[in-house]
Amino acid sequence: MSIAIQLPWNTVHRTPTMPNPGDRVLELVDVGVSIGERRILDGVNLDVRAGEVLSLVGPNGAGKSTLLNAITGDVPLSDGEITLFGLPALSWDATELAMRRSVLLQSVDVTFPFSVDDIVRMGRSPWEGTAEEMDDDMIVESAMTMTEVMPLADRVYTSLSGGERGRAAFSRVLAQAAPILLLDEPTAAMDIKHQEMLMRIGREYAAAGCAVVVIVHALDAAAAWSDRVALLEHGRLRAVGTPEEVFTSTMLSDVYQCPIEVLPHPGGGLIILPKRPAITRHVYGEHHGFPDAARANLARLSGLSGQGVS
Amino acid sequence: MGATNGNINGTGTIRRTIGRRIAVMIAALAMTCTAVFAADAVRVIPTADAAAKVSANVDGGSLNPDGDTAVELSGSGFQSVQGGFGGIYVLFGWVNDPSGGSWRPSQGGITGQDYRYMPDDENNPAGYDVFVAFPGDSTASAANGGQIASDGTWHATITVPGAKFTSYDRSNNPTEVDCTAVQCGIITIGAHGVVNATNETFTPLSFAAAQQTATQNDSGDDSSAADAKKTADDAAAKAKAAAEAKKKAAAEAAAKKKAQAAAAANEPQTAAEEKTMSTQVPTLGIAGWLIVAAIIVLGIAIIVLAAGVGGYLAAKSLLLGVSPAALDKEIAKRERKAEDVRAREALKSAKRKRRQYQRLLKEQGRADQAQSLVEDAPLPIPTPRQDGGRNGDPAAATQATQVIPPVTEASAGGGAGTPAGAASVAGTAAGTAAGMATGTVAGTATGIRGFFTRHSGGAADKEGQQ
Repeated sequence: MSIAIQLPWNTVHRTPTMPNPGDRVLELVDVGVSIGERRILDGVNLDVRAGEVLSLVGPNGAGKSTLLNAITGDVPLSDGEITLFGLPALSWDATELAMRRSVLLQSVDVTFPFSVDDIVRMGRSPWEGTAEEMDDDMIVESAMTMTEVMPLADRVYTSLSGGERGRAAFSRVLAQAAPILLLDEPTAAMDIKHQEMLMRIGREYAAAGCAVVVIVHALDAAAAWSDRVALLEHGRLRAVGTPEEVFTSTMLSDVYQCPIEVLPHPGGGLIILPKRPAITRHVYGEHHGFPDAARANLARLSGLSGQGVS
Repeated sequence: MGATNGNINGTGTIRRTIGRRIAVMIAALAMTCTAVFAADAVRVIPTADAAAKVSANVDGGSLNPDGDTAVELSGSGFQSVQGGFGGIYVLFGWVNDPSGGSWRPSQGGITGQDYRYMPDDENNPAGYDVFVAFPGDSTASAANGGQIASDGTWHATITVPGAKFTSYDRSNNPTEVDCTAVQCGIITIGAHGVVNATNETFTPLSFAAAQQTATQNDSGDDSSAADAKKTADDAAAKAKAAAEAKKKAAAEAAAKKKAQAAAAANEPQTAAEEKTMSTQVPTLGIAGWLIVAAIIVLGIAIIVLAAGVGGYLAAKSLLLGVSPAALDKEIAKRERKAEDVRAREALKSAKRKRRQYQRLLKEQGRADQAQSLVEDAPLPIPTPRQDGGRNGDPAAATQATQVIPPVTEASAGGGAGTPAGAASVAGTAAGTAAGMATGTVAGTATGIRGFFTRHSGGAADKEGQQ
């Protein structure tokens, strides 16, 4: 039995074990968060399983982001407990946490003019000094290719558009290769193509045995891509279950205080639409139709969507 | 052997020095004991005469209350210690209990309180105090009163300063003594602080002349009463001035005497101890005091350190008891340590296995070589190495997988090649060691790694298509 003296700057970090699908990687028990007088979250019980995409949905101010921040440890809990890989979240140090969960916040601001490649490479920093470091180049390259930021690799992050920034930041989070992926409105600034791309990547990531928690506003995207959805209302968990179980017309209308229709899609899945009146149009300006061009575009689009679904 | 001998010798010398030290300590103890006994013995020595006596012969017949008077003294029946330290001090002064003797230093009498005497200026002695030394005393040179003869007699002349003088106690507080009001006389006590009950005497002397002048004044001419009063006043003023002057001189003298006495006590200390065997307060040298200071500082440091460590432990346990989060962190810290140890052990065992396997390979190769030599003796060149490699290659590969279960790609690729099996095995071992050191990363890698590898390849193809 040898006695190893540990220097504080030379600590050993516990590397994660890959969870099996269905393992409870993250567990919230009776979590409550108060900021000042206001009760943001109250009695939230939630378990996140490996191999699953869990969407957090709810109206503005329901506490979705706070819940995510509580999981990451950025917001102190006023009561309850969060368990990460069977141990209290507090018992992990920063590097160990970074090896276990990667977080994409709503807005990613970078002060210094780093190139996109540098930004993505930053995602690999927790693995410095471990065997995983060997895969850095491959993973960074792969993450950038997946999110289609390869052409932006040499550009300065601050010069990117909102959607491009979103993709670059997502690429970095992906490169962290953690078994838990926490995304706070990743699709906010993205166009529809990249929204779908991102959700597809999230699903594949989950299929590789990881847990993905994503906050989305688009209910139909949540219904289409997630295994389970958690519906938050006024800081409480209203419902947790498959989209078919949770997204009912009455439930959504009640939570969002707005009439919402839920219809089964003929190809499987759900169509979620707010009830809208039929409007009478007033057309004063010019209006041209380009039937041929429209047809050509449609053909191209169908090809793209086929690729997206695969 | 030599080394062990040396060791034994070394411990031997250490033991010897310790023994020597103990012997020295015992000797010192014995010496102090004998010193005490000797002191007792000195006290018990019977004196020549039953009691010490001092007879005084006042110069001019009577003591002058306003000025110095020389008094010839001769003592008898005193104890004379050949080579003893000190002797006697012959002083003029007052004692509180002439008949009882409670003033005596040997009875616990204290100067300035139980007896008071006229101090002298030691640098410029006026003869107020007389030191009569023992024959052979180391400080005999300072004796202004000669020596105590072996038959216990001595002769000296003391100067009586007048009827009024200022005495000082041990704290140097002055006390006025008026010998016209109290009974003064000649005091003899043991010198240099060496208490000697035999040599403590008090011989009363009276200022007959003072009484005479007083009576004279009283019975003097009444006609010149005013004059008389004036002269009396003058005399009083004079006396006062004289007294003040004396006081000043006496203060100086006392201070100096003290200093000198201290010096005298320090210098001949060792000699005195040996000679008189009297008990004295042991004085430490500078080194001694330094050691004492060091011990005190060390003790304080140990106490402070203990308090600090104890406080830290107490605070920590309190924190761990109070805060579950802190407890979790502590547990995590311990787990990390344990994991580190596990990783080290895994690395060690992997190395050991590799070594074992290499040895096995070598022995196998040797055995194969021997066998081939026996079996294929007629063959010109057996090429044992290649032969062994070919024979052992599948075996080596299987054994490698048996010994180290997770076979990395590197080893799988290397194992197929013809180069010596040992190299590929070493590669395998290193790979596993690295894998083990970083925990169970291998499992994580397959899932996520697969995801990334799939995508990096697929995406590239897709881009190529586009």
